[in-house]
Amino acid sequence: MAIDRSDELVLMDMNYYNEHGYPFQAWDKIRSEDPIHHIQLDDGQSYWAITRYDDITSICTQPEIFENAPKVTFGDYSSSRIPMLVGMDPPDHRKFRDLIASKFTPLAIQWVRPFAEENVNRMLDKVKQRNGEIIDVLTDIVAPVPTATVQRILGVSDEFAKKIEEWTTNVFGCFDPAVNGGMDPEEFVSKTIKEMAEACEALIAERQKTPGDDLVTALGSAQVDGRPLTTMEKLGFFFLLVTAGHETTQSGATTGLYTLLQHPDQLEKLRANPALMPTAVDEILRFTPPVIHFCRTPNRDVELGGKQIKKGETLVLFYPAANRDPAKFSDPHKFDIERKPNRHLAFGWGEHVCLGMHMGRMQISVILEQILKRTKSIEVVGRPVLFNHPAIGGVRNLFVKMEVE
Amino acid sequence: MENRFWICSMCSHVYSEEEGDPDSGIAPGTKWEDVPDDWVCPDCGARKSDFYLSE
Repeated sequence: MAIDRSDELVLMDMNYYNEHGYPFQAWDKIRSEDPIHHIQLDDGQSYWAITRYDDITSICTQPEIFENAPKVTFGDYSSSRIPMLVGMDPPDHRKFRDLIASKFTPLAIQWVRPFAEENVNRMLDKVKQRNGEIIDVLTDIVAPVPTATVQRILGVSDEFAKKIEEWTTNVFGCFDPAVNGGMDPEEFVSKTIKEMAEACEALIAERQKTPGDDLVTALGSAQVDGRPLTTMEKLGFFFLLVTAGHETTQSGATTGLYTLLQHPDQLEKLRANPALMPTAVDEILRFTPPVIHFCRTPNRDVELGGKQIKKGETLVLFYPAANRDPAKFSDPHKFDIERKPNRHLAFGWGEHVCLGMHMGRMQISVILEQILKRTKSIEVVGRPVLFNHPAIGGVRNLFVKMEVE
Repeated sequence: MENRFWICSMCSHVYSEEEGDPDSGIAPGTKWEDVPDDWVCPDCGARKSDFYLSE
Protein backbone atom coordinates (compact mmCIF):
# COMPACT_ATOMS: atom_id res chain seq x y z
CA MET A 1 0.00 0.00 0.00
CA ALA A 2 1.28 3.44 -0.88
CA ILE A 3 2.47 5.79 1.84
CA ASP A 4 0.09 8.68 2.29
CA ARG A 5 0.45 12.00 4.06
CA SER A 6 -1.29 10.79 7.20
CA ASP A 7 1.28 7.98 7.54
CA GLU A 8 4.03 10.59 7.42
CA LEU A 9 2.46 13.02 9.84
CA VAL A 10 1.43 10.49 12.45
CA LEU A 11 5.03 9.56 13.27
CA MET A 12 5.62 12.85 15.11
CA ASP A 13 2.03 13.40 16.19
CA MET A 14 2.00 13.38 19.98
CA ASN A 15 -1.78 13.45 20.03
CA TYR A 16 -1.78 10.24 18.02
CA TYR A 17 0.62 8.59 20.44
CA ASN A 18 -1.52 9.77 23.34
CA GLU A 19 -4.74 8.53 21.78
CA HIS A 20 -3.70 5.36 19.96
CA GLY A 21 -0.19 4.38 20.99
CA TYR A 22 2.51 3.58 18.49
CA PRO A 23 1.77 3.97 14.73
CA PHE A 24 2.91 0.49 13.76
CA GLN A 25 0.79 0.41 10.59
CA ALA A 26 2.39 3.59 9.30
CA TRP A 27 5.87 2.29 10.11
CA ASP A 28 5.10 -1.01 8.37
CA LYS A 29 3.97 0.82 5.26
CA ILE A 30 6.99 3.09 5.17
CA ARG A 31 9.40 0.22 5.87
CA SER A 32 7.84 -1.79 3.09
CA GLU A 33 7.49 0.96 0.47
CA ASP A 34 10.33 3.37 1.14
CA PRO A 35 12.39 2.37 4.19
CA ILE A 36 14.52 5.50 4.08
CA HIS A 37 11.77 7.99 3.56
CA HIS A 38 12.03 11.77 3.47
CA ILE A 39 9.28 13.57 5.35
CA GLN A 40 8.59 17.29 5.18
CA LEU A 41 6.62 18.51 8.17
CA ASP A 42 4.11 21.34 8.01
CA ASP A 43 6.22 23.46 10.37
CA GLY A 44 9.10 23.52 7.90
CA GLN A 45 11.22 20.86 9.59
CA SER A 46 12.12 17.73 7.65
CA TYR A 47 13.82 14.42 8.33
CA TRP A 48 14.57 11.00 6.92
CA ALA A 49 12.51 8.28 8.64
CA ILE A 50 14.69 5.19 9.16
CA THR A 51 12.57 2.12 9.77
CA ARG A 52 14.63 -0.98 8.96
CA TYR A 53 16.58 -2.83 11.64
CA ASP A 54 19.75 -3.19 9.57
CA ASP A 55 19.79 0.48 8.57
CA ILE A 56 19.48 1.61 12.19
CA THR A 57 22.23 -0.72 13.42
CA SER A 58 24.47 0.36 10.55
CA ILE A 59 23.99 4.04 11.40
CA CYS A 60 24.52 3.42 15.12
CA THR A 61 27.83 1.66 14.48
CA GLN A 62 29.24 4.58 12.49
CA PRO A 63 29.32 7.38 15.08
CA GLU A 64 32.23 9.00 13.24
CA ILE A 65 29.79 9.83 10.43
CA PHE A 66 26.35 9.89 12.06
CA GLU A 67 26.52 12.24 15.02
CA ASN A 68 24.19 12.67 17.95
CA ALA A 69 24.72 16.43 18.02
CA PRO A 70 23.11 18.81 17.38
CA LYS A 71 19.59 17.31 17.36
CA VAL A 72 19.13 14.49 19.83
CA THR A 73 15.37 14.01 19.44
CA PHE A 74 12.34 15.89 18.25
CA GLY A 75 10.65 17.47 21.25
CA ASP A 76 13.91 17.68 23.18
CA TYR A 77 14.54 21.00 24.83
CA SER A 78 17.24 19.89 27.22
CA SER A 79 20.26 18.44 25.44
CA SER A 80 20.99 21.70 23.62
CA ARG A 81 21.23 23.41 27.01
CA ILE A 82 23.09 20.80 29.04
CA PRO A 83 26.09 18.71 27.92
CA MET A 84 24.82 15.12 28.22
CA LEU A 85 26.02 11.76 26.94
CA VAL A 86 23.07 11.52 24.54
CA GLY A 87 24.20 14.73 22.83
CA MET A 88 27.92 13.98 22.70
CA ASP A 89 30.01 12.35 19.99
CA PRO A 90 33.39 10.61 19.93
CA PRO A 91 35.95 11.20 21.32
CA ASP A 92 34.28 13.19 24.12
CA HIS A 93 31.35 10.78 24.46
CA ARG A 94 33.51 7.87 25.50
CA LYS A 95 35.63 9.98 27.90
CA PHE A 96 32.50 11.08 29.75
CA ARG A 97 30.76 7.72 29.55
CA ASP A 98 33.80 5.99 31.02
CA LEU A 99 33.55 8.21 34.12
CA ILE A 100 30.48 6.34 35.32
CA ALA A 101 30.27 3.17 33.21
CA SER A 102 31.75 0.95 35.92
CA LYS A 103 28.77 1.74 38.19
CA PHE A 104 26.31 0.18 35.73
CA THR A 105 27.89 -3.18 34.89
CA PRO A 106 25.93 -6.35 35.79
CA LEU A 107 28.30 -6.94 38.70
CA ALA A 108 28.10 -3.37 39.99
CA ILE A 109 24.30 -3.26 40.01
CA GLN A 110 23.70 -6.47 41.93
CA TRP A 111 22.57 -4.35 44.92
CA VAL A 112 19.61 -3.12 42.88
CA ARG A 113 17.70 -6.43 42.87
CA PRO A 114 17.06 -6.78 46.62
CA PHE A 115 16.65 -3.02 46.92
CA ALA A 116 14.03 -2.83 44.17
CA GLU A 117 12.31 -5.94 45.53
CA GLU A 118 12.01 -4.35 48.94
CA ASN A 119 10.64 -1.14 47.44
CA VAL A 120 8.07 -2.73 45.16
CA ASN A 121 6.84 -4.93 48.02
CA ARG A 122 6.53 -1.87 50.20
CA MET A 123 4.29 -0.33 47.54
CA LEU A 124 2.30 -3.57 47.16
CA ASP A 125 1.78 -3.67 50.94
CA LYS A 126 0.20 -0.20 50.70
CA VAL A 127 -1.96 -1.27 47.75
CA LYS A 128 -3.07 -4.30 49.77
CA GLN A 129 -4.72 -1.88 52.18
CA ARG A 130 -6.82 -0.72 49.24
CA ASN A 131 -7.70 -4.11 47.78
CA GLY A 132 -10.73 -3.82 45.54
CA GLU A 133 -10.23 -0.10 44.92
CA ILE A 134 -9.08 1.30 41.62
CA ILE A 135 -5.38 2.09 41.74
CA ASP A 136 -2.90 3.53 39.27
CA VAL A 137 -0.11 1.06 38.60
CA LEU A 138 2.32 3.89 37.82
CA THR A 139 1.89 6.10 40.85
CA ASP A 140 0.88 3.41 43.34
CA ILE A 141 3.38 0.68 42.49
CA VAL A 142 5.90 1.34 39.73
CA ALA A 143 7.16 4.93 39.87
CA PRO A 144 8.62 4.91 43.39
CA VAL A 145 10.84 1.92 42.56
CA PRO A 146 13.23 3.46 40.01
CA THR A 147 12.93 6.75 41.88
CA ALA A 148 14.26 5.06 45.02
CA THR A 149 17.09 3.51 42.99
CA VAL A 150 18.08 6.90 41.55
CA GLN A 151 17.76 8.34 45.04
CA ARG A 152 20.20 5.72 46.37
CA ILE A 153 22.64 6.24 43.49
CA LEU A 154 22.70 9.99 44.06
CA GLY A 155 22.58 9.68 47.86
CA VAL A 156 19.71 12.16 48.30
CA SER A 157 16.82 12.62 50.72
CA ASP A 158 13.18 11.54 50.32
CA GLU A 159 12.24 15.16 49.78
CA PHE A 160 14.79 15.43 46.96
CA ALA A 161 13.46 12.19 45.50
CA LYS A 162 9.98 13.74 45.30
CA LYS A 163 11.48 16.63 43.33
CA ILE A 164 13.10 14.09 41.01
CA GLU A 165 9.69 12.65 40.19
CA GLU A 166 8.31 16.11 39.60
CA TRP A 167 11.18 17.12 37.30
CA THR A 168 10.85 13.91 35.31
CA THR A 169 7.14 14.45 34.87
CA ASN A 170 7.84 18.04 33.77
CA VAL A 171 10.43 17.09 31.16
CA PHE A 172 8.55 14.20 29.57
CA GLY A 173 5.11 15.65 30.08
CA CYS A 174 6.09 19.12 28.86
CA PHE A 175 3.61 18.98 25.98
CA ASP A 176 0.71 18.06 28.25
CA PRO A 177 -1.28 21.15 29.36
CA ALA A 178 -2.14 19.31 32.57
CA VAL A 179 1.59 19.26 33.32
CA ASN A 180 2.84 22.56 31.85
CA GLY A 181 -0.10 24.56 33.16
CA GLY A 182 -0.48 26.26 29.81
CA MET A 183 3.14 27.41 29.61
CA ASP A 184 5.02 27.04 26.33
CA PRO A 185 6.68 23.55 26.50
CA GLU A 186 10.16 24.86 25.71
CA GLU A 187 9.85 27.59 28.32
CA PHE A 188 8.49 25.06 30.79
CA VAL A 189 11.44 22.72 30.29
CA SER A 190 13.86 25.67 30.60
CA LYS A 191 12.30 26.58 33.92
CA THR A 192 12.61 22.97 35.09
CA ILE A 193 16.25 22.80 33.99
CA LYS A 194 17.04 26.00 35.88
CA GLU A 195 15.50 24.53 39.00
CA MET A 196 17.43 21.28 38.54
CA ALA A 197 20.69 23.13 37.96
CA GLU A 198 20.29 25.07 41.20
CA ALA A 199 19.45 21.90 43.13
CA CYS A 200 22.36 20.03 41.55
CA GLU A 201 24.83 22.82 42.41
CA ALA A 202 23.63 22.89 46.00
CA LEU A 203 23.91 19.11 46.22
CA ILE A 204 27.46 19.09 44.83
CA ALA A 205 28.51 21.83 47.25
CA GLU A 206 27.02 19.93 50.19
CA ARG A 207 28.72 16.70 49.09
CA GLN A 208 32.09 18.43 48.88
CA LYS A 209 31.78 19.19 52.58
CA THR A 210 30.50 15.71 53.49
CA PRO A 211 31.52 13.23 50.81
CA GLY A 212 29.73 9.89 50.55
CA ASP A 213 29.79 6.72 48.50
CA ASP A 214 27.48 8.09 45.81
CA LEU A 215 27.54 9.35 42.26
CA VAL A 216 27.37 13.04 43.18
CA THR A 217 30.53 12.70 45.28
CA ALA A 218 32.21 10.74 42.48
CA LEU A 219 31.31 13.41 39.92
CA GLY A 220 32.70 16.05 42.27
CA SER A 221 36.18 14.57 41.97
CA ALA A 222 35.96 13.26 38.38
CA GLN A 223 38.31 14.59 35.73
CA VAL A 224 38.25 14.66 31.94
CA ASP A 225 41.37 15.56 29.98
CA GLY A 226 43.10 16.38 33.26
CA ARG A 227 40.51 18.90 34.42
CA PRO A 228 37.53 18.69 36.80
CA LEU A 229 34.05 18.55 35.31
CA THR A 230 32.26 21.86 34.94
CA THR A 231 29.03 22.40 36.84
CA MET A 232 27.03 21.97 33.61
CA GLU A 233 28.80 18.70 32.82
CA LYS A 234 27.95 17.38 36.29
CA LEU A 235 24.38 18.54 35.74
CA GLY A 236 24.41 16.58 32.47
CA PHE A 237 24.95 13.31 34.30
CA PHE A 238 22.50 14.28 37.01
CA PHE A 239 19.86 15.23 34.47
CA LEU A 240 20.27 12.08 32.40
CA LEU A 241 20.07 9.80 35.41
CA VAL A 242 17.13 11.62 36.91
CA THR A 243 15.09 11.77 33.70
CA ALA A 244 16.02 9.14 31.14
CA GLY A 245 17.34 6.82 33.80
CA HIS A 246 13.99 6.32 35.34
CA GLU A 247 11.11 7.48 33.14
CA THR A 248 11.98 4.73 30.66
CA THR A 249 11.97 2.10 33.40
CA GLN A 250 8.57 3.33 34.55
CA SER A 251 7.22 3.05 31.01
CA GLY A 252 8.81 -0.38 30.54
CA ALA A 253 7.22 -1.80 33.69
CA THR A 254 3.77 -0.23 33.33
CA THR A 255 3.57 -0.92 29.60
CA GLY A 256 4.89 -4.40 30.28
CA LEU A 257 2.10 -5.19 32.73
CA TYR A 258 -0.50 -3.79 30.34
CA THR A 259 0.88 -5.83 27.45
CA LEU A 260 0.77 -9.01 29.54
CA LEU A 261 -2.80 -8.24 30.56
CA GLN A 262 -3.72 -7.82 26.91
CA HIS A 263 -2.18 -11.22 26.12
CA PRO A 264 -3.67 -13.45 28.82
CA ASP A 265 -2.14 -16.63 27.36
CA GLN A 266 1.33 -15.13 27.74
CA LEU A 267 0.49 -13.83 31.20
CA GLU A 268 -0.62 -17.27 32.34
CA LYS A 269 2.50 -18.83 30.83
CA LEU A 270 4.63 -16.38 32.83
CA ARG A 271 2.65 -16.94 36.04
CA ALA A 272 3.10 -20.68 35.62
CA ASN A 273 6.82 -20.36 34.89
CA PRO A 274 8.43 -17.28 36.47
CA ALA A 275 11.80 -18.43 35.09
CA LEU A 276 10.59 -16.99 31.77
CA MET A 277 10.82 -13.44 33.15
CA PRO A 278 14.15 -12.53 31.44
CA THR A 279 12.88 -13.40 27.95
CA ALA A 280 9.48 -11.88 28.81
CA VAL A 281 11.10 -8.55 29.71
CA ASP A 282 13.07 -8.50 26.46
CA GLU A 283 9.89 -9.26 24.53
CA ILE A 284 8.07 -6.45 26.36
CA LEU A 285 10.89 -4.11 25.40
CA ARG A 286 10.88 -5.29 21.80
CA PHE A 287 7.11 -5.03 21.50
CA THR A 288 6.76 -1.49 22.88
CA PRO A 289 10.17 0.06 23.52
CA PRO A 290 9.94 3.10 25.83
CA VAL A 291 12.22 5.13 23.58
CA ILE A 292 10.53 5.87 20.25
CA HIS A 293 13.37 7.58 18.44
CA PHE A 294 16.73 9.25 18.55
CA CYS A 295 18.13 11.44 15.80
CA ARG A 296 21.44 11.31 13.99
CA THR A 297 23.02 13.93 11.75
CA PRO A 298 25.60 12.95 9.13
CA ASN A 299 28.66 15.15 9.09
CA ARG A 300 29.15 14.57 5.37
CA ASP A 301 27.06 13.67 2.34
CA VAL A 302 26.31 9.94 2.46
CA GLU A 303 24.47 7.34 0.45
CA LEU A 304 22.07 5.23 2.47
CA GLY A 305 19.91 2.52 0.97
CA GLY A 306 20.10 4.17 -2.41
CA LYS A 307 19.16 7.58 -1.07
CA GLN A 308 21.51 10.57 -1.12
CA ILE A 309 21.55 12.13 2.34
CA LYS A 310 23.12 15.56 2.62
CA LYS A 311 25.45 16.65 5.39
CA GLY A 312 23.39 18.16 8.20
CA GLU A 313 20.07 16.51 7.35
CA THR A 314 18.25 14.83 10.21
CA LEU A 315 17.82 11.07 10.35
CA VAL A 316 15.20 9.74 12.78
CA LEU A 317 15.84 6.22 13.97
CA PHE A 318 12.48 4.66 14.88
CA TYR A 319 13.32 1.80 17.24
CA PRO A 320 9.78 0.40 17.51
CA ALA A 321 9.73 0.07 13.71
CA ALA A 322 13.05 -1.78 13.74
CA ASN A 323 11.75 -4.04 16.49
CA ARG A 324 8.90 -5.14 14.22
CA ASP A 325 11.04 -5.54 11.09
CA PRO A 326 10.01 -8.86 9.53
CA ALA A 327 13.49 -9.18 8.04
CA LYS A 328 14.80 -9.53 11.59
CA PHE A 329 11.91 -10.88 13.69
CA SER A 330 9.61 -13.66 12.58
CA ASP A 331 5.92 -12.86 13.11
CA PRO A 332 6.99 -9.46 14.46
CA HIS A 333 3.55 -8.34 15.67
CA LYS A 334 3.17 -11.45 17.79
CA PHE A 335 3.90 -10.99 21.50
CA ASP A 336 5.83 -14.12 22.51
CA ILE A 337 7.50 -14.15 25.90
CA GLU A 338 9.68 -17.09 24.82
CA ARG A 339 11.02 -15.35 21.69
CA LYS A 340 14.65 -16.24 21.10
CA PRO A 341 16.87 -14.78 19.79
CA ASN A 342 15.54 -11.33 20.57
CA ARG A 343 18.15 -8.73 19.69
CA HIS A 344 15.80 -5.79 19.87
CA LEU A 345 16.89 -2.15 19.78
CA ALA A 346 15.00 -0.88 22.82
CA PHE A 347 18.35 0.10 24.36
CA GLY A 348 19.79 1.41 21.13
CA TRP A 349 22.90 -0.03 19.54
CA GLY A 350 26.61 0.68 19.20
CA GLU A 351 28.41 3.68 20.69
CA HIS A 352 25.36 5.08 22.47
CA VAL A 353 23.82 1.83 23.72
CA CYS A 354 21.99 2.52 26.96
CA LEU A 355 24.30 2.61 29.97
CA GLY A 356 21.40 1.62 32.18
CA MET A 357 20.31 -1.41 30.15
CA HIS A 358 21.10 -3.98 32.84
CA MET A 359 19.57 -1.85 35.58
CA GLY A 360 16.48 -1.22 33.46
CA ARG A 361 15.98 -4.91 32.72
CA MET A 362 16.54 -5.80 36.36
CA GLN A 363 14.06 -3.30 37.74
CA ILE A 364 11.35 -4.13 35.23
CA SER A 365 11.86 -7.84 36.01
CA VAL A 366 11.62 -7.31 39.77
CA ILE A 367 8.53 -5.11 39.54
CA LEU A 368 6.63 -7.52 37.30
CA GLU A 369 7.83 -10.56 39.22
CA GLN A 370 6.53 -9.25 42.54
CA ILE A 371 3.25 -8.00 41.09
CA LEU A 372 2.55 -11.40 39.55
CA LYS A 373 3.69 -13.25 42.66
CA ARG A 374 1.41 -11.29 44.97
CA THR A 375 -1.74 -11.08 42.85
CA LYS A 376 -4.08 -13.73 41.52
CA SER A 377 -5.94 -11.50 39.14
CA ILE A 378 -5.66 -7.98 37.80
CA GLU A 379 -8.52 -6.19 36.07
CA VAL A 380 -7.86 -3.18 33.86
CA VAL A 381 -10.33 -0.36 34.47
CA GLY A 382 -11.04 2.04 31.65
CA ARG A 383 -8.38 3.16 29.22
CA PRO A 384 -4.73 3.62 30.16
CA VAL A 385 -3.22 7.06 29.76
CA LEU A 386 -0.44 6.97 27.20
CA PHE A 387 2.57 9.23 26.87
CA ASN A 388 2.21 12.21 24.57
CA HIS A 389 5.80 12.85 23.66
CA PRO A 390 7.51 12.21 20.31
CA ALA A 391 10.50 10.42 21.84
CA ILE A 392 9.18 8.55 24.88
CA GLY A 393 6.12 6.36 24.66
CA GLY A 394 4.08 3.57 26.11
CA VAL A 395 1.68 3.50 29.01
CA ARG A 396 1.89 6.16 31.68
CA ASN A 397 -1.07 5.60 33.95
CA LEU A 398 -2.73 2.20 34.11
CA PHE A 399 -5.85 1.94 36.25
CA VAL A 400 -6.58 -1.50 37.66
CA LYS A 401 -8.30 -3.38 40.39
CA MET A 402 -6.17 -6.03 41.98
CA GLU A 403 -6.20 -8.22 45.04
CA VAL A 404 -2.77 -8.18 46.61
CA GLU A 405 -1.86 -11.03 48.92
CA MET B 1 43.39 -25.00 24.20
CA GLU B 2 43.20 -22.20 26.74
CA ASN B 3 39.69 -20.75 26.77
CA ARG B 4 39.92 -16.99 26.95
CA PHE B 5 37.06 -14.62 27.67
CA TRP B 6 36.72 -11.15 26.19
CA ILE B 7 34.38 -8.66 27.82
CA CYS B 8 32.44 -5.94 26.04
CA SER B 9 33.20 -2.63 27.72
CA MET B 10 29.86 -1.22 26.57
CA CYS B 11 27.45 -3.93 27.79
CA SER B 12 29.59 -6.56 29.56
CA HIS B 13 28.70 -9.28 27.04
CA VAL B 14 31.23 -12.12 27.31
CA TYR B 15 32.84 -13.61 24.22
CA SER B 16 34.12 -17.07 25.04
CA GLU B 17 36.58 -18.49 22.53
CA GLU B 18 35.25 -21.96 23.32
CA GLU B 19 31.69 -20.96 22.44
CA GLY B 20 32.34 -18.47 19.65
CA ASP B 21 29.26 -16.63 18.33
CA PRO B 22 27.57 -19.06 15.95
CA ASP B 23 24.57 -16.76 15.34
CA SER B 24 27.01 -14.26 13.84
CA GLY B 25 28.95 -16.90 11.90
CA ILE B 26 31.82 -17.23 14.39
CA ALA B 27 32.34 -20.94 15.02
CA PRO B 28 33.01 -22.32 18.50
CA GLY B 29 36.72 -22.43 19.13
CA THR B 30 37.49 -19.26 17.17
CA LYS B 31 40.36 -17.45 18.81
CA TRP B 32 39.85 -13.75 19.37
CA GLU B 33 42.59 -12.86 16.89
CA ASP B 34 40.66 -14.73 14.19
CA VAL B 35 37.33 -12.99 14.83
CA PRO B 36 36.85 -10.58 11.89
CA ASP B 37 37.54 -6.93 12.63
CA ASP B 38 34.06 -5.96 11.50
CA TRP B 39 32.37 -8.30 13.98
CA VAL B 40 30.24 -6.46 16.54
CA CYS B 41 28.99 -7.39 19.98
CA PRO B 42 25.81 -9.41 19.45
CA ASP B 43 24.13 -7.75 22.43
CA CYS B 44 24.88 -4.11 21.83
CA GLY B 45 26.75 -3.56 18.57
CA ALA B 46 30.02 -2.44 20.18
CA ARG B 47 33.11 -2.94 18.06
CA LYS B 48 35.76 -5.58 18.55
CA SER B 49 38.09 -2.82 19.79
CA ASP B 50 35.65 -2.17 22.65
CA PHE B 51 36.34 -5.59 24.17
CA TYR B 52 38.99 -6.34 26.77
CA LEU B 53 40.58 -9.60 27.87
CA SER B 54 39.24 -10.93 31.13
CA GLU B 55 42.11 -11.58 33.51
